[in-house]
Amino acid sequence: MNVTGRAPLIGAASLACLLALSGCGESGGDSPAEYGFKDRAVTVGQGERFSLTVPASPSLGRHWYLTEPRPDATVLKYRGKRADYGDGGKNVDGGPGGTQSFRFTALAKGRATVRLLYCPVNTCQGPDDTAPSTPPDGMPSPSTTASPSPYPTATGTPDTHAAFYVFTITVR
Amino acid sequence: MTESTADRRKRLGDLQHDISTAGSKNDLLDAIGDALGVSAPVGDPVTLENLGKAYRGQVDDAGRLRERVDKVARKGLPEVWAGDTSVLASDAVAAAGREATHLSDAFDGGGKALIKLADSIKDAQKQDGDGRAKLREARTMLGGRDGFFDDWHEDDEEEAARLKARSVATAGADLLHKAAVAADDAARTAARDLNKWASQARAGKLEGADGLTAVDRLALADASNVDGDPALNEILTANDLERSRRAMDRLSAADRARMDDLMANASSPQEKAYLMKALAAGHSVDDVEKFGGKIHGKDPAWLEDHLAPITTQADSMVNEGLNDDGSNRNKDGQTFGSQGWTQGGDGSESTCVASSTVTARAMVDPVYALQLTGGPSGQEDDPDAFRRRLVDEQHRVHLEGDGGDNWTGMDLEGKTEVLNKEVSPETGSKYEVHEVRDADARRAALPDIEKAVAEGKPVPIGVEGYDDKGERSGHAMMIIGQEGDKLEIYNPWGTTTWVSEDDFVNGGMAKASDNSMPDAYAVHLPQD
Repeated sequence: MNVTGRAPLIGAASLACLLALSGCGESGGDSPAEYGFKDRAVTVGQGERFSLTVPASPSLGRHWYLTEPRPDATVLKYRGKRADYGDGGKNVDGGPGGTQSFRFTALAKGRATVRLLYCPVNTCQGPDDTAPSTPPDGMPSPSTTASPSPYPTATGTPDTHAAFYVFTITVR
Repeated sequence: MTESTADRRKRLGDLQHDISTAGSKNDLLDAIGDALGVSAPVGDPVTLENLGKAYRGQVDDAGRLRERVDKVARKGLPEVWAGDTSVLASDAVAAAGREATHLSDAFDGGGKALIKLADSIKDAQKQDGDGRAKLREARTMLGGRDGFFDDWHEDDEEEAARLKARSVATAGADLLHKAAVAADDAARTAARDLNKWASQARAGKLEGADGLTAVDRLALADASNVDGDPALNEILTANDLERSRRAMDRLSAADRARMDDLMANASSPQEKAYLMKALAAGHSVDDVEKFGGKIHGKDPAWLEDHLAPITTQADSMVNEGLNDDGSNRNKDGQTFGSQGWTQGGDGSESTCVASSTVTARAMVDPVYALQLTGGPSGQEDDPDAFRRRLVDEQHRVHLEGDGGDNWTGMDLEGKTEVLNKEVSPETGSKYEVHEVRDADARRAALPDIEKAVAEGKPVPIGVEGYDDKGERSGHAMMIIGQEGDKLEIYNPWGTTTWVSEDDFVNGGMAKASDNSMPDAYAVHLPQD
């Protein structure tokens, strides 16, 4: 066991980058295009690779999941999820967080719907966790879970409430 | 110098690998020599067994004491017979019965722990001896070391002889390593159990405290919060009991008289215990008096709500399986009314270090807890106002530890600083950070963690994980309890849950947070 020294902190720069992630649109070069949580209607070309990239944070317990029904597999091919939380520093607890990206390839012309479930801390814990919210014993239930659907479909910015974010992808 | 059981375990694990992969006669001889140079498991099984039997011999006496107390309880007592400080006699008899049960359990548990340790050491020493015999046999098979030129070429016959000897040596090294693992596990289990039983000899820790009768001592040691499992929600920790005794002894005659008055006028065992806890946290009698004025006459449920941030529920250790994200399903929310003891109030700020520190301080200092829950008057019952005070306090501590901008991130140096400013004065123990980035280091830290939490000193823990790019995220939590081989973890997301010590050692900390941060990497251990 070692007594450790002080590590540099990162903060504002990463956070600014994270906050900017709300509709990045097309990226330059050959990199796949990235869209953010505000881009609920996205149009891509056939054969194009793109990702839906949303703000997430391990230290805040904020995660996203691709849920059922999955997007039409004849229109979109799902290539998996990647996390990029930025380097929080070797010995730092509570970093600013980063993103989770859901990566797709547009296979054929048509339209597909992508449903992402956003789970901040003490709400849902996975893609299938769409039963009425059961927060930890003693924790009050969030008011949003009182709707007939366990979680609402969000129209705004991700906050401390679980919600579905629905993206319509048109392949032209 | 005697090697620790953890050092022996690690060293023999490395040598086991060296022996099984040795590519030359000389390398094999060197590794065999190194393995034989590691000491055998130490300890005298006969002495340990006799000590264990002596402990267990006391169980019958303790059992008879419990029967006599039960008899008194059954016979009945005048309803309002009161002791020196107004503890109802029936409460005192019930507390005495529970203390006698603790006594009996402690002798029984301590005796069993020692006998089990004796058996394990005996078996490990036998296994170690068998392994050494095989290593010596292999060494004999190999003969002398190769000279410089001999080492250049190995013919088929020599290779066959080396491989045969290596096979025998590998079997021997396996036995030595297994014996070392068994001895290490047995030593840690015994240390954990004995520390636990020692911390539960609770009333005795107030022995000699001036102004406290035997009935007072029993009632204080026995006082629990009303919600949850009484055994897991005792108001005064072992450390509180020790510190309050020392504090009472240091009081001037005038202050002792004031403290006696406060105790005598307290309206419940819980109120009395919280007054003593305030004294143990280092407050002056003036402060305890003011605090006493705010909590006087409150019922035990009010006291628990306002003064105990954490309640451990009776069913909290039930295994209900895991969520999809790897976290335990069985978690308890820790709240004041509808408001959790949560970082940023709603989990929106990355002040996990500051937030776990604030909650830890509130756990050990009821005066501080009441400032947060009850406000300046101590009488408020407003979750929204509590949230504002809690978040303000988290921010203050975050800045004190030079935390990052926008309420994100604090490094280990800042964490050490805030722990030593915020929690150490209340517990009397300075915190020192230890990195535990591999299983051996985590295993080696366990006895100190167990001892600290058994005494009632929270142990801050840092966990970490890596994303798809190999970049790191970290989170701060707090080890606040231990039962058997389980550790209770407070997560500043506002919850508590239990993980096994095996989870702590082998990367299973996701159960207390989620899959993104499975590994413990640092603990802050209180120094005595």
